[in-house]
Amino acid sequence: MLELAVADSFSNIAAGARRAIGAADSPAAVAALRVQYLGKKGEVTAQLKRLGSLDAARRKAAGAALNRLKNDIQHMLDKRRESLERAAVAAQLQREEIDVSQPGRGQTCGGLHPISRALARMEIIFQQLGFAVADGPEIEDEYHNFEALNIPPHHPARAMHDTFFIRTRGKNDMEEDMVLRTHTSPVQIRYMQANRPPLRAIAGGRVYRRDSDVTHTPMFHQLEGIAIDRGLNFADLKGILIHFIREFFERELAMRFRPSYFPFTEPSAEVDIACVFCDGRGCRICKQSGWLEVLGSGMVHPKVLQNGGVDRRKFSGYAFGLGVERLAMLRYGVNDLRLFFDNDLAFLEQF
Amino acid sequence: MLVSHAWLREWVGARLRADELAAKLTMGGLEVRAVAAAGPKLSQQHFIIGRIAARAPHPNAPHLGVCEVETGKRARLQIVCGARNAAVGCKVPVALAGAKLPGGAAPTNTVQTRAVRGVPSAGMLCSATELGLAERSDGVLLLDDAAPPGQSVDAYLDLQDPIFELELTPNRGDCLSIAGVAREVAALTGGAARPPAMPKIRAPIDAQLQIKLHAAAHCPRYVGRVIRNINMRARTPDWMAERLRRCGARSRNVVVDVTNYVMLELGQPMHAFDAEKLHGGIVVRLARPREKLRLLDGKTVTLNDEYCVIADHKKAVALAGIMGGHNSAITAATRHVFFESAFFPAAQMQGRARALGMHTDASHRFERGVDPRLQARAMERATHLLTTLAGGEVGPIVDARAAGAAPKRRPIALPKTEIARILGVSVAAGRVRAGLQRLGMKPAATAHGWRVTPPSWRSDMHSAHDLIEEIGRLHGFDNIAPRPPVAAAGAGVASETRVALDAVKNKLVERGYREAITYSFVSPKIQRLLTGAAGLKLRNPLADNMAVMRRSLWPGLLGAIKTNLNRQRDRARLFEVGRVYQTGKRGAAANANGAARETDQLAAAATGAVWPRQWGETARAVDFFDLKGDLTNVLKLAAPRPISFARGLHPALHPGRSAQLRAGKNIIGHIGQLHPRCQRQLGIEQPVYLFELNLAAVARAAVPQFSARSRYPAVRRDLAVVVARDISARQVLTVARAAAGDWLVDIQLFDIYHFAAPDKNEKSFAFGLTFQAESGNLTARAVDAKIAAVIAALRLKLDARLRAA
Repeated sequence: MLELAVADSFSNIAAGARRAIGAADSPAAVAALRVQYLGKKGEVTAQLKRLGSLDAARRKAAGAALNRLKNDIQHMLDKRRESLERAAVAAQLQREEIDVSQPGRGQTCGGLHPISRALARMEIIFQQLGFAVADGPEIEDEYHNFEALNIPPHHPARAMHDTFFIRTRGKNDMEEDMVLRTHTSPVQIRYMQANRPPLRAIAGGRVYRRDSDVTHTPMFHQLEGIAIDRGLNFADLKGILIHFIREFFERELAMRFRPSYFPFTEPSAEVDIACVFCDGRGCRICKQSGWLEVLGSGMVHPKVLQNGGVDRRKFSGYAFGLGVERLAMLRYGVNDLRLFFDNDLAFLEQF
Repeated sequence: MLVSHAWLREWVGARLRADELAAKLTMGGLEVRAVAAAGPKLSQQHFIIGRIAARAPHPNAPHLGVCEVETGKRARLQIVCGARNAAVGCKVPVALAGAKLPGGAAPTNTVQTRAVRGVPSAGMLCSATELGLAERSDGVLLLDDAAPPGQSVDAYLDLQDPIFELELTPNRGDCLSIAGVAREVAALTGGAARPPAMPKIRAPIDAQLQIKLHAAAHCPRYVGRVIRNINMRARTPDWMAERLRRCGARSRNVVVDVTNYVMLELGQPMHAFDAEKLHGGIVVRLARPREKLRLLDGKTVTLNDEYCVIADHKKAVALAGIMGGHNSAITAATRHVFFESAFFPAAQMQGRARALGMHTDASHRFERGVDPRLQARAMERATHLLTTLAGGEVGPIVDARAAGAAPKRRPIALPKTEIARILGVSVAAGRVRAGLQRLGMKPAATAHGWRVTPPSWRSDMHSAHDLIEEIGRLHGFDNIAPRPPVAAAGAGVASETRVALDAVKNKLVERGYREAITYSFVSPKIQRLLTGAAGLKLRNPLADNMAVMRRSLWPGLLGAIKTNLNRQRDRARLFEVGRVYQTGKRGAAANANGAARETDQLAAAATGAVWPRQWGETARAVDFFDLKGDLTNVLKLAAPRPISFARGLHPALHPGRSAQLRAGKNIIGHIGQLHPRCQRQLGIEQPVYLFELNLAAVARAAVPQFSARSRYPAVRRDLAVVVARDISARQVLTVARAAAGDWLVDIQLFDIYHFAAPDKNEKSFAFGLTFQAESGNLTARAVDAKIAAVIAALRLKLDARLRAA
């Protein structure tokens, strides 16, 4: 049996420790209490030392009680420390809390112009089919812009082109008249002259016509395509254009090929797609017709093949030209052509 | 071209609804742009024909009349009318109370029974304008004497007749007439064209003019005829006037209306002269140099020998194929008429009218090709119409032809295999033959296909391809099954050493720049200001501020910056990739034409705050080094060729805040602040920073090659030195780098300090040097020795001293 006095002093220690630990307000205070009770000169340690003066039976009982006391205090200290540390972390977290709805900092991203965005997409579609990307001068000679494409001087088709002229100093310092290319078709001739068939190429870029109103700007963009091979025919032309429209709009759109006339293709076809705004039902954009004219195409005219140095008996080919602005307007829902060249940030920021 | 459905129906057997016909024509290559009724819908009850039975002056208004109007079975109506031409006996359109006049807004457009200046009026007599049939009109619309009173005006004039607006391609001159469109409809539908009966004309009198063709190439055939003693007071009947109106021609007088009618119907432009104003006979000749001719529209043209004129024995009287002369025009006093029906070949007509700033119905048709065999038929038709309407004594046809000058049609060989080779579909021989025949062609079978003779009106048929197109058209392009594309193993993947344009653009996009696309032509004044030269001039610019080809992308970009500043966007970052155009020098880097040099450039402009407005960052205006950082980021794509920034002047840039970009010795671009003088002249109110460089300079990159890095620890030392103001950062770093030896792996400028005192002509650079050896640890002593060498070199070469701590 434990003597009453000893038991009393143990419970006094326990009560004191409970009070002190409960009042400890920092991990350091807890550490000090640990020393105070359990350290070498601590109160519990002092009681342990006193055990030696007791007889065996009482020593055993007191030892067990003391051990319990030690464990209790240990436990209280640990709990207190943990609780204080948790509180400290919680306080830190609370202190460091931010308003995550505040906007992120730094440079905001810019963006590509919708025309180059559309043009890039078109190029990828054709590049995946093995078309090379070709290029040609924008200041062209009349031969490449007209004659080589079977448009002789004074041809009514020229009047439709409203050409810009430039007088430059050419070979031998002679003045010569050049034109701003009115279409990307001269690249057909240049590419045929520079490459042997079979060939497939596209050429996108700026073209110029002397016209300016709500639906015309004096500069706009076209994408030209040409393919020359053995056995290419109108069915191939239809196939590739149907593929292109499906890929570009990521939709199945009804299409129709209307016989038309371009001096450099024969047969020639204008290509209409079902109006993307009303799905062909008829609306203001398609003038109630349900159709939108999007590109011109045809089988390369034998004279043009000849001018390009291609053997027209062995090879045939198709060509097409489309207005990039027109397709970009349909794709992105832009309703005014002139917006493309205003460069108003309020417009550009939408792309 | 405008085509009346009712008129067309007279010419074709097939009875097709207007919308079906429009679809057929469109898919056959004659695009129908729009279909619209010939006139507004006039209510059958409210608009009726009336006869003016009596007219008395208005008691209270001398300029008004009080008309008694008969309208069939109804009682007579009393209608007050101000038009002077509303005479007794006239047939006129009457709008009854409740009629809604086309145009104008309700309720003012609703006719009411009311008193006009005290006299009750039961409706109104209408002018063509009030009926919505003309923009302008004079007096009430007078109808034919035969018009039945009481009939609805809408039915009488057939105003719901659908009018097709055809968008004809330039090769289809043969369709610029009712007859031509009818032929095409017949071919597309498989029906037959049924031209109305055209009676043969007897020529009872012998009056004629001699015709001489002195310009056979310009006029190989000229058909003329004299008709004497016509009644110029004869009215053009309503049916003819309405057809002219709905095909876009105005009714003028019976003679001119007949020539226009025949042109619209058959496609042969005709002209009528007042025969009494012609002296001697007709001479068709080239114009003399600087010959002047006053035309019907009152304008005088100055001609040359590219033009053909119709002359009499004294003077030119018409500009061939374009417009008649003023001196021989039909007037109200004309008694005798000379009709012209001539063939002017397209090749000689093309471009002529346009060069005079003119475009007429006649020139439009001749330029696109008129049927060379149509002239006499058109003459007969016109004679019949004129004599029916205005009487007259008819002289014989004089048909002058230049020997051998008429176009000859050669048969075209059409190999059968060629059809499938081009169209990708095989069309049965019988269908090919039948289709060609429907188009008026004569196919004769040969061993391999056909020899096809096209009809006289198809001047656009030259080769087998032309015929194949026709076969495809009749077959229907929609009936050719598409063949899905197969990717060709063609171009392959671009070299890794090629810097994609996308990558260049994306570098700038990531740094907040928006891509702009500006016009290739700019103001010469602004171009001279910004580049020192005006550049290539357009001969026919649209406007003064779009008159020269740009030599730099800056004029366009600065224009865009200004636009945005004006729209209260005071922070703007724009870039553009595009061509600039230099006046070509012989040889040099001229393009394939040897004429003008075109270079692809990259340019950017930034103004306003460096960051978008945001919390937690001090707002600061963009400066040279921000832009340089952005540019350097782009240039990094183009390793390994180093591009350096060197001082250099540019007319558009602040001399103290600009640099040339150099690749070796070549100047490939510029960067800097817009010169304050330019900024002021452009009306821009805040500093703008710009760069522009040749895109080719960043087009090549190196394929990265790995090299092993040392695993031994690196040692970093910082130095701060004071140098004179004119010593550049690059000089300091170059000297330091050279003196630091092989262990130096990195050198970084981390601080620049300009002493505040204005008289202090010095500045301080602080930079860190990192040393690392390939094999083994570096000792402090070894690094100290290198630092000492750097300090010594800087002192020796740049008179630098260590900055006191």
